This record gives sequence, C-alpha cells and structure tokens, in this order.
Amino acid sequence: METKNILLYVGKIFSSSVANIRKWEKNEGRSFRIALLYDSRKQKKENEKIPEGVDIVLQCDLSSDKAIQKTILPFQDNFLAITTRDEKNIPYLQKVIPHVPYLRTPTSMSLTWATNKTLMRKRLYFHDKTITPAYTIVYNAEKTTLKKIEEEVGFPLVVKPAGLACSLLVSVCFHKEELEKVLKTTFRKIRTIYKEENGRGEPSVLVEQFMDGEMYSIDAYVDSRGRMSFCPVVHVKTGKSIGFDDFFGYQQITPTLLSKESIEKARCVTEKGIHALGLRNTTAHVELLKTEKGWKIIEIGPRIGGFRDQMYKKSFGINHTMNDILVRIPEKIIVPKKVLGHSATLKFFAKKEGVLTKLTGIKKVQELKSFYHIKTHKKLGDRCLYAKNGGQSVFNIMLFNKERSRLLADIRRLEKFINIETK
Amino acid sequence: MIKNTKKDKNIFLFVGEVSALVVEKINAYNKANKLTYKIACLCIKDYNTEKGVIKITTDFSSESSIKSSIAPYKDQIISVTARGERNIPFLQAVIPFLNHLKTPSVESLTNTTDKVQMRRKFVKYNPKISPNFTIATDTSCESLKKISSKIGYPAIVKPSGLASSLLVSICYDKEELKETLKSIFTKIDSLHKEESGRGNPQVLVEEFMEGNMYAVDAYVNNKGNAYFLPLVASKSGRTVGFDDFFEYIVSTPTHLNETDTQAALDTAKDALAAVGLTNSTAHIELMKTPTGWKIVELGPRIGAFRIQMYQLSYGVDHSMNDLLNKMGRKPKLAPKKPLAYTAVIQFYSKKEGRISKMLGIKKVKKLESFYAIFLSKKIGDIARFAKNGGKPICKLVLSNENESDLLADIRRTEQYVKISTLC
Repeated sequence: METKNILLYVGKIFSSSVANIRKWEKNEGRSFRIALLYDSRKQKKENEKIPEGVDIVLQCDLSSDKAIQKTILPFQDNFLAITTRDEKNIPYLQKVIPHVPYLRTPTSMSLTWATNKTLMRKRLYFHDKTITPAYTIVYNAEKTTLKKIEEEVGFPLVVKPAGLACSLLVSVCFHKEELEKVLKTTFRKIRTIYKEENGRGEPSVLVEQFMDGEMYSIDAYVDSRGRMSFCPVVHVKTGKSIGFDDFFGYQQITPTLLSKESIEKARCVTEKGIHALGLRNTTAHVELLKTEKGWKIIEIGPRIGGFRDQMYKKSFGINHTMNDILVRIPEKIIVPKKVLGHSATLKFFAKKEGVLTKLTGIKKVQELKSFYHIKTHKKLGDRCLYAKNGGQSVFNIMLFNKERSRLLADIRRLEKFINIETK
Repeated sequence: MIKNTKKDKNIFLFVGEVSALVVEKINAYNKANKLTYKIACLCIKDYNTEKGVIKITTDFSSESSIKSSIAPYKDQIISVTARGERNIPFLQAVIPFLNHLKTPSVESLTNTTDKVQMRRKFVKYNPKISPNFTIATDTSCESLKKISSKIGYPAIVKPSGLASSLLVSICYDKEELKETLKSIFTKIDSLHKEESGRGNPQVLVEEFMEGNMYAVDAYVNNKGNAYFLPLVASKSGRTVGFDDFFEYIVSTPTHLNETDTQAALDTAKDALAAVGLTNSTAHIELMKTPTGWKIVELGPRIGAFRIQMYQLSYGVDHSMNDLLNKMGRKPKLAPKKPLAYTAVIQFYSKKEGRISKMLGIKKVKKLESFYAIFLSKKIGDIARFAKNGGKPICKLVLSNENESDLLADIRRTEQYVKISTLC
C-alpha cells in the first residue's frame, strides 16, 4: 500500500496555507504532498494563481462525477485529508466527497445545510429555537409575500440571499416600503450575483428578524464524533457601527474583552449550532450576536473564517491551517491559549458608491508599527460598490501589536490616514 | 382626592428656571387632584418666567440677596428643586436658607456635579463601579507621562463641570492626548462660563470603557432609599459613525433581562450611597462592560427628556414625582408593562461649519410616532460637534405603542433629515 501523505485542497489554496503546512512539517519532522484540485471550467483570476509549493495540481470539470473520478484515481490511495478554503468552494468539496469514501469528511448533506442559509435556519430552529431569530423564506416581492413577512417576522428585519457570503445583498429593512424596494432589487440582482459568486443552492431569499447586539465569531474544530475544540473569540464591528448602511465586517479583533463566563456561553451556543447542522470532520466558522437576550447564531460556515489563520497565528501561535487538516486526518490538534498579542483586520469600503478617484494614505499606513499585511482590491478608475450591492472592499489590512492600546492607536491613525474618494 | 398637607405651605420653588412643560404638569396635577399648589421660580432678573409663575429675583452670588428674596415666601415653600445640571450650583446656594425643607446636602450636590469629586467618592466606596481616572492640569511631558502610566490608552478626556458630552474626547496615544488637552484648556474657561459650569474648571482623564450605555432615573428619599424608574438605553454618536460622544439616541423600554437590570440597579445604588445623595431625583448613567456594570456619571436631577419619555412610555409624572419625593411622599412608580416605546434623537451635522440646508423636518412631523421637535439652530448658524463645544441642531421625541413601528419611524427620520454645512 502506498504512503498516505497527500493533503487535497479543493477549489483554492492560499500561499499562506502552504507556508503554514511547510513550517509544521519542519517542526514535526513529517512530510506531506499538497494537491490542489480545481474546476477547469472556471477561468483563474490574476490574484488566484496557484501558489508556489503546491506539489500536485489537478483540474477537471467538477460538475462531472466521471471527470472527478478519472482525475483523482491515480492518487486515490495517497490522500490523507481533504479540505477547502472559502465558502464558494464548498459546493466543489461536496462534489468530490463521494469520490473519497475512505477519508474523514463532513457529510455532503451537512455541507448543504451549512451553506444554504434557509436550510441552516430551519435546522437551527428545530434544534433549539432560542439560538436563532424568527425567519421566513421568500421567492418574490409580491404583495402577498410582503404580508407574509410582516406576519411571520415583523420589523425590523434582515433580507439575505440564502446562498451568498460576505454580506452580499444583505440589507436591513425597518418598514414595508423599504422591504418592497429591497426585495425588488435583491430579486433583480440575485441570479447574476449567484453566477458570479458561485452561489450555493437555488437562489432564494431569507428574511429574518433583525437582532441588535455586538457581533463576535468563533472558529471551532469538530471531530468525527462531534467533539469540539474552540479557537479564541473574535470581535466583529460591522459597517453599520461606523456609519455605513451596510453589514460588511469592518473590523475584526482578537482577543476580545469578553469575560470567561460570556465566552463559555458563546461556546455553548456554538456547539448547539454545529450539532444542529450535523457537521463533523471539519473546521466551522460561527458568527454570533451577543444580544441582551443571550447569544444568537447569525450563521455557520463549514470552513476557516476569513483572515482567521493569520489572526490566530499572530495572536495565539495557533496553526489554524494545520489544525484544519489534523482534525480531518484525524490527529491531535493544538490550540495554545497564551496571548502573544492583539490582531485586527479591517476592510475599507468607499463611503459613497462610484468610480474610485482618490486613494491616499496607503504608504503611511505601511509605516505604522502595528502594520502586518495589506491587500488592495481596487485601483483608481475601478467601480466601488457597497457589500450589500455586491461590491468588494477597496483594500483589506491586518495590524498586529503586542499591546492592545497600541493596536487601537494604530487603528485610529489608519482611519485618519486613509482617504478614499469616489465620483 | 389628595389634600394639601398644610394649608399655607403650597409653593413649589424652582431654582434657576422652570419650563413650560413643568408648569403644565403641575397645573394638570392640581386640576386632577383639586389642589392649589403654586409655582415660584427663584431666578436672575433677566430670566423670563412662564405665565402664572411667581418670579422671585435674586443674585445667586450674594447670600444676603438670596435670604431676602425668599424671606417673604419661606413659610409657604413646600418643596425646592432645580432642573438641569446648570441650576444645581444655584440650588446649593439656596439650600442653607431652606433648612426646614427636605433637601439634598450641599456636599452631596458637589459630589454629584464635580466629576473629579464624584470619581473619588466612587473609588472610595466601591472601586469596581468606576474606571481609573486622574486629573490633567497641563500638557507638560511629565503630566502626559503620568496620565499614560496611570490610565493607559484609549483614554477619555472630559471637563469636570460640564454636561452633554461637551468637550469630551477619546485619545489613543500621547500625541492625541496632548492635542486634545491643549484644545480643551483653551476652550474650557469660556465654555464653563457660557454653560454655567459646576465647580472650578478641571479636566478629568479616565480609562475608556467599552460596552453599551444605559441610564436610569431614581428618587432618593431622606433615608437614602432609592426608587428606580425603568432603564433607558443610550447610543452615542460613535455608534453611527461620528467621532463624538454626544447622546445620539435614547430609548425605553430596553431589552435587558431581569438579572442584568438588577445588576445595573445594584451598581446605581452603590453610586448613590457613595455620593451620599438624599431627598433628590438622580440621573445615573451606566455602562454595561464585559466585566460588569460601571458608572459613567451621576447627576442630582431629572435626566434630559425623561419627563416626556417616562410619561409616554409608562404614564409616570416624573416632574411631580420629583416634587413629591422632596415633600417626603412616596413617588408613583412605573407599571411593569409599558404603555409605549419612546425614543429621543439628537441630530448633529456630519461636518462642522455653517448650516446651509436643513431638510425633512416637515416630513418628520407627519410621522405616526412623532411627538415633539426642538430646533436649536437655523440656517446660517454654526454647527459644531459636542467634543468641540457644539450643541445639537435638533432634538426629536418619537413614541409608538408598537416597537417595530417606532423603529421604522426612527429609520424614516434618519433618511428624511438632511443637514448640510459649508466650511
């Protein structure tokens, strides 16, 4: 029997993930081969180039069982674990799972429940209705639909497409006129954005009760028996709290100021949510809201959360990439508790939608003591849209500092330095 | 029917000023209970009193003037009170001449209007209810170093004797602290004069507390027992994208559960005991932080807009209760079930400058939840942020039996009201 040493990534792998794996190999005296299997029908974008260090690159039509079987057959006996990054690659993982029956994977159904917001809400509601808001599912913006929403959910409410991530087309509505307008826009745009963003499931719209509170997230490793190891809690500040009428995650910061008791309660709700979706052999990214009535689940993704591998690595020395693999092998995962410092990631959007005419302060920001990493998505002349309208941030930035107060001071400076103008 | 306790004692004495609303409330109370309470206002010569109010002019800086001004009415005065933080020093000046009435002690009023003194009292009584603080006297390197090591960052800088978040700023590092202190020291004397600031102008620097803000009004009897009204939730300008601490919106009832409410009230009780306040209404501002409730500050008075809010939401005559408590009578407290949901919004312009446009006011008045609007600026006036000594452009009271309808009208208000300024 050949050696089982291939780590199979479906859809995407980041260069930072490759680096994390190689570092772990060096420390542990082990050796893996990294394989990437991606959909040949999808044109790779400039920023999606295959990172250096990937040993095996496989491509095929991931909608075809025959093509998948044929592509992975030569390596079938060498796969040690299978994983993916990003919500949009989960459908590909689902396609591949039946072809790797002897690897520990989440069930295909649990992935469907965890990527379709409608099904997720149903599962959470039936498991424990105290951890989820009231909701309904709609397919049009007709008068009868509006009436149904008013009766079943009430105002204020949040409109979100069932199979999209990153707050795409997510809007809050406080009254009927607003709801009608938002639903009409959502249904007009939903098919196009589903196509562009590889939306999960059939396009449908979830309408749920708006909950007021502070947003947090937890990444957790779930083993084959549903036992969990929790990563530290991350505090999330949405665009709404800085004056945007938009829900994108503006600032994410870890560690938080939450008390041990609060963290325990958050973990308890997280566990309930993950069990409700039947997730196993996976990492789960759980977004929560701390309301005055207790912790509620916003949503759960069967994946590593955005920026979490870097944030956890810098702040706690957690090798999130490797833990995600180890839980699937399965092998013992390590989650150090000691705080090494404070990390923050910020997404900058233009205050007004339009063509980007000015972007200043980037150089100054890179001189900040807490500066760690920046990724620019837009250049002058590009169109800037809000996340709710399908837009991407102008840039994302990560800061790190051993001291929280210094990190906060650098965030303050960053906010003052950056000037984004649109026309 | 309630009878006047003593035939000749029937004057309510208001020190400094008395509003039309208060006069209206007392007249209504007299009518409903077939009583004949009279209203007197001890004020400066230039103050215009409402119709039906006995105007007693005095010079508050002269003890003999106060004594002679109130002498003709002394035996008829049944209760003495002051509305608004700025009138508390006048009340303090009057109290020694009305020692036959139930009044707070002069010392307790100093403890509650001088923020430095207040913090000292809190720390002495129960350090857990107060953030760390120090006093800034100058911007020398030594002082800044002392502040940095004692308080750390972020830090809140606030003048000790001013209300309404005037000159309150947050500082994230030494440079920002230096700039902020310089700016405050240049403005504090004139603003102290303009706003009838309490005590000597001093600048308090305290630890920044992260959390949700609430407030509660209470009646403290002559034994120091407190009777609380329901809590009010408060959101500062920072939660809607301003770099300013003004109170953007206050609303009641809140969504706090019983445990949290009790913990808040216990903290408020500690604060009242710490400052030794008796025979007074108290307005207590609290912060629900991840490590428990903390006191932001405490005023020996009715909170702003609380007369309207408690009346609309609970049918409580807060103004009369304040007087009844000072007469030694038990105030009528709020029923468990609220009658309505009420919110007060304060509008500031997004940018400082001369007001060039104010739109949407007429539309706002047509809203179902509309109750009252108070415009304090007009086109051509200068609009400034509270941190720079500015006042709100308009204040709006909304109330509705249905919470979601109120939230919808708040949303409409935010969309309708457009204030533009020219630099």
